Amino acid sequence: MASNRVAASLPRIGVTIGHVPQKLKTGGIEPSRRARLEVLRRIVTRTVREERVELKWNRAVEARPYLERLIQLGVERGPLDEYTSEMMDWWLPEKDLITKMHEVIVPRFQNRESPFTSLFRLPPQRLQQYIQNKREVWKRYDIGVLEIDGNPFPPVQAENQEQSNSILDALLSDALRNHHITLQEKLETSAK
Amino acid sequence: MKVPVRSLLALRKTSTTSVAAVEKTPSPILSSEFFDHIRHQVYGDAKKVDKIVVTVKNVDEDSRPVLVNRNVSTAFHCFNHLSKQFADDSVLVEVSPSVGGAYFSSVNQPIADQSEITRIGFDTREHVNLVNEAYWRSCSLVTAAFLREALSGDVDFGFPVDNIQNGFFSVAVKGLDGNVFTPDELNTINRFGKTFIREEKPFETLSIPQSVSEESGIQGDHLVRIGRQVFATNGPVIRSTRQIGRFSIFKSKIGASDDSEVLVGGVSIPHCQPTSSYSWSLIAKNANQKFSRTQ
Repeated sequence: MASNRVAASLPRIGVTIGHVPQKLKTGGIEPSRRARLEVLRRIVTRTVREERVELKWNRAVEARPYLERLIQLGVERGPLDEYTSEMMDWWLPEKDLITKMHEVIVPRFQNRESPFTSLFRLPPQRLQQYIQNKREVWKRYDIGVLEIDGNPFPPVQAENQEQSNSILDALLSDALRNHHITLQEKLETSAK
Repeated sequence: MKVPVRSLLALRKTSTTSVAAVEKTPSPILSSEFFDHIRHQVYGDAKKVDKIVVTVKNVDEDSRPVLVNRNVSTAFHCFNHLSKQFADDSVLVEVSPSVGGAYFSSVNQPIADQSEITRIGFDTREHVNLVNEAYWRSCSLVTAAFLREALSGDVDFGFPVDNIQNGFFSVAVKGLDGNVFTPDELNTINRFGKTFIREEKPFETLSIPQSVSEESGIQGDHLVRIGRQVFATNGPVIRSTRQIGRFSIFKSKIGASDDSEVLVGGVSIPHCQPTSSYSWSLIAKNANQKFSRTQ
């Protein structure tokens, strides 16, 4: 009930939610509703710790709204709010991360609108699972990169820069121009 | 069986050498020891440490002061205080000393005075031409460096002024008695060159005052050391052979002005500007055609 009241008074988070919850199996945890939350908690904790993580795509999609809401609680309510501190305690079992959240991550978004996180899709990876009777079993994974905005790492997507004078562009445009001239000459010669 | 390029070319050279009585003009032997000697002459004793504050200007963040050693530390060392990637991506540096006007220098050139430095990378917009010139100059120097290691004979090098619009860079090799390289030899040289480039050798650079260059007979205002090979040049160079991406030496021909001089042409693009094999084949073909047409 309390969570409903708090959530209702908060603005909507700026990321997509609402698809069917997934099982999110992990070794060492029995699959159940509770296990799913445990897996998500691990991901949220790791993301707050490292600020950029590479995950399976479905896990990244699933964990993002929870992380977004946690940061939003910090931004909107502050560390003294009872519900916020309860949520922080549960989602961040490593206590130094609660300090990091309130002192490093939340101040970053004080004057900013949601979303506070970004999600990128990487090309799928094919990884070897195991070898059984000399038979290699491979599996294809969709990979996502989940990050907290404003992190110190270089951007995942490079900015599109105007580079028409760069060495590659200068050489390539000259090569293409001459290539077309040569083709034209060949066509004219063959026409004659 | 792989034949080392050195023995391959040395064998051919002994079999085709003709005796020529040419008087050589006295010029210093540009060796690694000579480089150290000039560095000592220009920058003083490296064992005497004197500290200076250099301010690294960063476009995205605030400027950061760093404490470094005068005449020993380079802009590369200063950039490393910010981040390794920031330092690795630097191509040139703009130095604004506390006394005197601003100038552009190589990243591996020692800093002589308290100054503000600004990193210039391949992604620059303001100094594109400067970076392109430095890259082309560096490619010529690298070609000369691995040719000298490969030929291991009495060869000297000249550096004709080429620009990016020419589509190729060239190196004049003196001492081959007008023997151009065969396609097989060029293949072997290319393989050797690529190995040389992959070794990620830094371009150690010294700025030579006019008095020292006149006294020592150095033809140029910069002395560059790549591995153990030293060359005099006019202008800054890139940081390391690591920044060189695709690279090819495609042809050699007799020089137009001097019959004993062999011009070696090549083309290259930076490592951070990747392209497809098809585009690269167009660039290499175009460069080859333009080099063949040039007198």
